[in-house]
Amino acid sequence: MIKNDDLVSPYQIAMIIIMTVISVGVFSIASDAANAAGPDGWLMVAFAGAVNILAVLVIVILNSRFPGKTFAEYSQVILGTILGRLLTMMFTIYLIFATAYVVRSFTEVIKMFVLFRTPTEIIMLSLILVCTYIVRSGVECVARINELIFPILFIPFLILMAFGLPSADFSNLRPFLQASPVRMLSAMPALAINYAGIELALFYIGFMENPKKAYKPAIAAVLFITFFLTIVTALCIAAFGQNMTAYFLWPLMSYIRLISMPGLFVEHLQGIMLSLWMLSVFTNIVSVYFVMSYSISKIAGTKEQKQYVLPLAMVIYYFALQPDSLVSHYELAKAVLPYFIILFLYVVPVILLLIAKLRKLEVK
Amino acid sequence: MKAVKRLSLAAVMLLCVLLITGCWDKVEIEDRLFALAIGVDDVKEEERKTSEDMYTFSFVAPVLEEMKKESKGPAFRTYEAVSCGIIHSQSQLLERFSQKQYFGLTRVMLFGEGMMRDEKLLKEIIDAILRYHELHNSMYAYIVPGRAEEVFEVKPKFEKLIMRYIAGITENSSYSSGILKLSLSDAIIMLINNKGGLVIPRLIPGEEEIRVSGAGVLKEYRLVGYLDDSEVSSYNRLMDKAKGGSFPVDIEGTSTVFKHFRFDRSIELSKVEGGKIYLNYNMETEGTIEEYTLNKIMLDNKFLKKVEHELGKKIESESEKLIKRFQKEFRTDLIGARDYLNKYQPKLFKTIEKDYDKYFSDNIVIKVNADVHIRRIGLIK
Repeated sequence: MIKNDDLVSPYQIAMIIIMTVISVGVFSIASDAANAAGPDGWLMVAFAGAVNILAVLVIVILNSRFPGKTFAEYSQVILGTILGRLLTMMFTIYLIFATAYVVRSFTEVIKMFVLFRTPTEIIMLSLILVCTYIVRSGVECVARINELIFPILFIPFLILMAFGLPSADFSNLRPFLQASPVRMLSAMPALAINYAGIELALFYIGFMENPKKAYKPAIAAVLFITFFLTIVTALCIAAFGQNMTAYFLWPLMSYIRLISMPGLFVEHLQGIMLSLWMLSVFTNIVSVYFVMSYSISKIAGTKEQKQYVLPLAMVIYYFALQPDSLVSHYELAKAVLPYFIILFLYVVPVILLLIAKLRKLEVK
Repeated sequence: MKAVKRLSLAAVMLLCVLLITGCWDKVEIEDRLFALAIGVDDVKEEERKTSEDMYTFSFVAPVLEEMKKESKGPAFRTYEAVSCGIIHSQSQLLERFSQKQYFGLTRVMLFGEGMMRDEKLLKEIIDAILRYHELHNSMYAYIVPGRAEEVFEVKPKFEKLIMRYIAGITENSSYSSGILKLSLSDAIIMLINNKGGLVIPRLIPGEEEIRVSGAGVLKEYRLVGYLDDSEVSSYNRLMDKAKGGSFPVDIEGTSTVFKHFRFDRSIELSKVEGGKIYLNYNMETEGTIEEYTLNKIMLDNKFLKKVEHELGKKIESESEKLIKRFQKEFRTDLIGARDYLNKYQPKLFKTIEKDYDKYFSDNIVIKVNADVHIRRIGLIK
């Protein structure tokens, strides 16, 4: 089963969750939120994040019933071999779509702002291949790369955002709680896409020595994510007002582009922003990619996951190239991904936990 | 030791992130045409070549050889293009000149009066500014009575670069309330929030100088009128945009000037009665009086109270005159009442949201209260 040196520490669990969730969604979340709830958008982001604390709790409880086992393994224990494998297969397919979505979104932004004339294929392939290299080295490497990049990403990120504060008018966040509850609830699926990635804890906690130690870091990670996304949303709405924020494709990018301070020796900080953001996309893909190849190895019943990594790159690449344009890309993503996310983040863990309880399944 | 090693590793990686991002499109600096100002006009009939031609764009770029102190000529050149949009004009210029345009340093965007009167033209250009990734929105926006290209024919007496000159005037707005400062992004946000309503500073070209004076008022994406200099001051005060400035007033037959460094405005709802909404605009300012007349002892509380009272009265009456103008002449709310009601009285605002402009001109009563404090009186008594 899991080799002894392939362990993930509690701290790394938090890092993996944070770095997986914070990826392409950071740029567009403010727009979705403002669209859904106007000036209450930031409250809604916070609310959606708070809901995820419950989700992550269920995941940790479920995982601590089966120490040393990941979702791919204990789903077979709980549901039986065939059903368990089917579920894992579904999860893998979802992850392939999700990664393709991330790769494509990344390429679109990069092409818009930086590499105007570089072929899409080159940008995608170079990104996927770098990730392939890391994923082949196993879970320890994945965990370490997340741990390493976390401070490099967030410290400059927060500093960069602080530069935009002079252009923010926080009265734009008023009035509070005016959007109707129905409108807010109906917008939840659209926001769920920005919290995709928490469900990977189903796998990574399985690599911990003692899954019970995952409570604290998992909850801390979700809190951090919620805090971060709420700040991003609030800043964008404060700077642009709800109408403009909803109008932008990538409000955070526009927010960074707004920064212009006389005397500041760097203007046009979008280049720095993009390079930081590249890191967050990179870690997201690495974490998801590993789970993908790992669950395929469990479905196939092989010992190693290495051999599946490179072929998977082709699959991701293929799906990432499928959408015709940015419009069909977002339409496709909105039509498919939120339901998968809700299924695997909220529904499946609860059902599995219930069945495990009823069948009194537990690894001691 | 381990911690130090880790930290230095992190620092190196951080530096990589920050420093490697400088150059990505391999265009040499000599090959760039830095468009420092952009002028947008509607096309003149005689210059129109195809039916798609809608705009005349003027791009102003510095001429490096002329930037030196000794040389006499103006340090900028204007490149003009007649086309259907900003992107097409760019490719037109590429066909005519060897350099490639770069908009990263653009400071100023001028709109001609003609295109501001045309809803279609304005909407198209605003969309282009938002959509086109090469244009950033932190530049300043102005309206030019007549044509925007005329501004670039001015040979400024004291400055070589026309756009630094214009931007410099606008940046004086912290010291003079008569100057309206508006960045392109603020202009666009205002346009979208007010469904086509905007107050945009006016730039008047002269022989050897340019003046930022007054402002254009737009309603439903169309220019409907101008504010004069003192009205712009009042507008700045009403919108809480005023900071420093001076305010002349006549006391006992002698004119004097009140100089302020700070000007605050807050709005409160005073009452809702008989279908009318009563708003109070409370203004507070503090400053100095450093000019009067010889032999008059100003170190006198009674006298200062009187001056403060006169100043307050004058600020109130000027502000109320401008409010009248918005209510009766332009019939649109660009003075922040809607913003206040929406943000702080959302329940009340929901009842009047429909057909708000009509409600604003007929049923909103705004009272201005100015509270002036003279803190200092200069070096003599």
